[in-house]
Amino acid sequence: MFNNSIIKLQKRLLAVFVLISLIFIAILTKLAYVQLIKGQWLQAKAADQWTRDLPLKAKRGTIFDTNGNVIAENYTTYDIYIRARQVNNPSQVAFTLSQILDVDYETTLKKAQNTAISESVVKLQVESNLAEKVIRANLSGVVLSENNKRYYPYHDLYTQVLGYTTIDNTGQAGLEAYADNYLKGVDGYALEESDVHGVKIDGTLSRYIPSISGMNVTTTLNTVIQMSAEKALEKLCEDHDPKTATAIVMNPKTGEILAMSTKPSFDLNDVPRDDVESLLAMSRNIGIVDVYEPGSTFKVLTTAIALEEGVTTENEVFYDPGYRIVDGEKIKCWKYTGHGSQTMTEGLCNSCNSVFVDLALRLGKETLYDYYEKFGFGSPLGVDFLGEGSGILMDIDSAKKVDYARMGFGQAIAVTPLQLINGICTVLNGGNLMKPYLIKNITDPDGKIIMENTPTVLNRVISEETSDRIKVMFEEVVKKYSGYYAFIEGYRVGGKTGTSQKYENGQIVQKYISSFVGSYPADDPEYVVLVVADEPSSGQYFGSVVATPYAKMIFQDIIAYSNDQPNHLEEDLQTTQKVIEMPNLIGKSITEAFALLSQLDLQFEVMGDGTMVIGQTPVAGTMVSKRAIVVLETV
Amino acid sequence: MLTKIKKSKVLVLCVLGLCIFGMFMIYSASCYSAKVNYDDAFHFVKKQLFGFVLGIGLFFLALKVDYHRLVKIRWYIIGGAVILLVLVFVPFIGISSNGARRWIGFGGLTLQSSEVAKFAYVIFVACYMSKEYKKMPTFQGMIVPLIVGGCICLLVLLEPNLSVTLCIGCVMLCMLLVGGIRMKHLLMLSIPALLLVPILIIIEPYRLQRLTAFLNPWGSPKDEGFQLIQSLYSLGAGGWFGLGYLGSRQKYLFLPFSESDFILSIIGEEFGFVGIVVLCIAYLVVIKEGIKIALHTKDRLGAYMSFGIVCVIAIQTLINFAVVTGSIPPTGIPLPFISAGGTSLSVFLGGIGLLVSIAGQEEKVYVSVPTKKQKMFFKKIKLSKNLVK
Repeated sequence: MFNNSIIKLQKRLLAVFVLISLIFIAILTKLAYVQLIKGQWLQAKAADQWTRDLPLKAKRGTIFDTNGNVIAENYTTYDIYIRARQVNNPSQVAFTLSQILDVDYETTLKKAQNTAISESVVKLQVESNLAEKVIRANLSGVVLSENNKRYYPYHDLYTQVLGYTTIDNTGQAGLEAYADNYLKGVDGYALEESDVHGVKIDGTLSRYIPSISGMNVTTTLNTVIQMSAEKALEKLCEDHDPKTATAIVMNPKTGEILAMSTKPSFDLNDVPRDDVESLLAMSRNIGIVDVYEPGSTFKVLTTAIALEEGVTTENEVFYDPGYRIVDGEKIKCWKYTGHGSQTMTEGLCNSCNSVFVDLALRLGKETLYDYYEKFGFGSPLGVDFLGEGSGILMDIDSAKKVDYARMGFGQAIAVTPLQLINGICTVLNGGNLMKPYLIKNITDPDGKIIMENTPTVLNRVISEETSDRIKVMFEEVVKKYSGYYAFIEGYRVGGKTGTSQKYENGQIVQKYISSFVGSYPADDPEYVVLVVADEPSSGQYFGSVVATPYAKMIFQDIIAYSNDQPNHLEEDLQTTQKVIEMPNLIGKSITEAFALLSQLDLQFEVMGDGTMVIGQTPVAGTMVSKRAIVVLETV
Repeated sequence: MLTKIKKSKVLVLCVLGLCIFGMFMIYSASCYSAKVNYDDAFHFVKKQLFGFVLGIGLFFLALKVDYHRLVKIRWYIIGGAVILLVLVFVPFIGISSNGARRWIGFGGLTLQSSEVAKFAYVIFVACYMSKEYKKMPTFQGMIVPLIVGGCICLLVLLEPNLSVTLCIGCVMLCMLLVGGIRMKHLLMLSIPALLLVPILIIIEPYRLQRLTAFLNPWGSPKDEGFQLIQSLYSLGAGGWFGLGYLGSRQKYLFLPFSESDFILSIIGEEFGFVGIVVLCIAYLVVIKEGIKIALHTKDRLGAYMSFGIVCVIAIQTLINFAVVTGSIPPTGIPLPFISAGGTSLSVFLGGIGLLVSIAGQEEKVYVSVPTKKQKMFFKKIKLSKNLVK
């Protein structure tokens, strides 16, 4: 019994020892798995908590106008955080911060006392003078992080073209978005080893990778002209209160966009982010992204095509009874009493629809579409901007005779304002369709040119000779006809007005788009200006009245800016200073009124399609200059 | 006395090595947190050194005293341990921390009662079983160790300190096993013990969360899983050979209890898998030496007592290793000789003193002349011992 129990004891002692050893081996196996197999994975996960990653924001590139004026730049602000675990005296810290930064004391105190969170934001984007005060206050547990804030020195100038950035400096709209990859630079960072509370460990190395500043973008935009365009549009909005007004100024020889403005706009330094819908609406760069029916301004292009193809000459006589019948459909001229017999040039100047119906029919669908393609209608031009519109060109196979007859005078076709002005540039610059562009060059922070845009000919559309002939007619319109309100004594301005009625759900409605496209100097244009007003609500809607005068304002500023001297000023002044007393036309029949106005060498536009005049602008007795435009209301 | 130590020099050197290594590791693991919290990088090292000196005192005391005399005072010993455990609950004497009352304090000193109770229980059961060894295979023989063990477990559990309860429970089972109880009885004891687990979970639902957290710590990385994840980060960073002494990153307050219950994580981080294997071998040597002493002692009391001491060391080491590696649900238990904790260190050193004392006495005490059959068996044991080596 005794021996047996001793043996049993010793047996069991050994068994326990073996068991212990086996458990040790099992645990070591698990340990080997953790340390050797999962080690890398665990280390990678742990690396996150061992280091504090302090981002060093890259400085966003500057945007310049064509003359090197800064139009978008950065300045430094500071984000201020509180690390509650490092705060010695929460109430004092909260008090000082609330004093300097104008933040709520109670909220800040809570942040200073909340040790559950390693870091909380006190205030973002603090100006450097305030940040300096915070630094000088030397508060425990308060940290600052440098930040770059976008600043637009011209506030609401260039709103839609420049666009804006998000609060963390990523391009969100406009050129800021288009050139974001160039502008943004590369963020650097500082990695420092820290304990669980984010306190840097003494004697450890910090890895510091500096940020690379963004590149600088120089645009083709000219601030002087831009300011002028914006001023003109503001006046337009004040006078006629349209939904939107857009102006584009281009250099026809190069395709450079010199100014591009849309109203209403907003201050880029105070982006109204609260109302997303209106922000998106106001951010649309209508000149590039939206399409419209160009109306009469398009007649210039039809003329150019017709002359180029030799289907007409300036002096060919057309007869207009006030309409044309195409495929049994009556296409009315705006002057429904008819322009009678007139030359082709007069047809363009009178903006007679019948003439352009004839020209379009003569040219034929294939030729017209061939030219439209060369002008770049129906597809984006490739301007350096996001979201460029293509325009709407009816499919060639489904376009009936009556459709392309309308296209001849700018209906049944939709283009972007940029396409229209670029087409006009083409017929004025000698016939080359240029690629429009906004970015002149992009340079790195050392000034080395990374990318450069140079004038690019996309298509050769018409001959130089045809172009010269168009320039003459273009000037004629301003000198003597509906473009008269763009006439500047002593200077040569060309142009064409346009008024198009809007369709809504396939129905024509009493809403209009008024436009004017003009050039200066008319004989060798260096500037082409387009002004488009969408749905003016002043009662006036003719391009000659709603758009032309504001284009003139831009031309005047351009002339002043270029310091051009007047020619044959005296002669021009004699014409313009000849003043006529406005007769009373109310109650007269429309034919009588036309005869009287023609006799007085006055222009006229007609509202409504009645036979009796019931209203007139300007009113009777007003002194007006020769060739002034009289608007008649009829029933 | 010196001859006794000489006789167990492998054991003593191993233990001494572990203690010294422990102090170096405590410095590495706690220098940052001690500096932050106590403004003294050596705060824990100093406390540990004090425990070490006290432990050496206990070691020599245990060496000097004839352990046979403990039989007579076994009830006083266990009674004292129970009083210490009860004192934990007495206001002003008991000290609570992290929601558990585990310490009693007098003057500036604190003492963790359960550490003392573990060894008191071992001594008590060893004394009891050597006296009543004939009764042990019967159910009757188990009653006293079970009731006493149960009381101590209950008191420790009330602190609450589940891990020490578990440890004492395991020691109890192992000692009863070695004491000669029938396997049938062992199973009868184990099954209710296992049934206790769901009951404990129902009482304190947080234990279930701990249990699931151990299976998937990434499910709750900020709460239940936090401690284990931080431990795994440490071990993972260590790889094969570790980051070198003082190289730990996790000690920067990421790993709570890095100087005490989770010091093995820091060892794994600074010395890698290889370091832990070496440490493991050191512990196995200590355990093997202890088992050898138990085997060679022909005196039952010595055999039971030495086995009990080894058992405490082994079980505690295993539980600690298992917790740190995520093999069992996290529970706080110090690593013998290494983790910061003065009571633990000094009591363990006292235990080693007893072991050495038992080893020194083995020559003198013969219970009976071995029979032929016994001689044969001892040869077998020697063979198997060699195998183990």
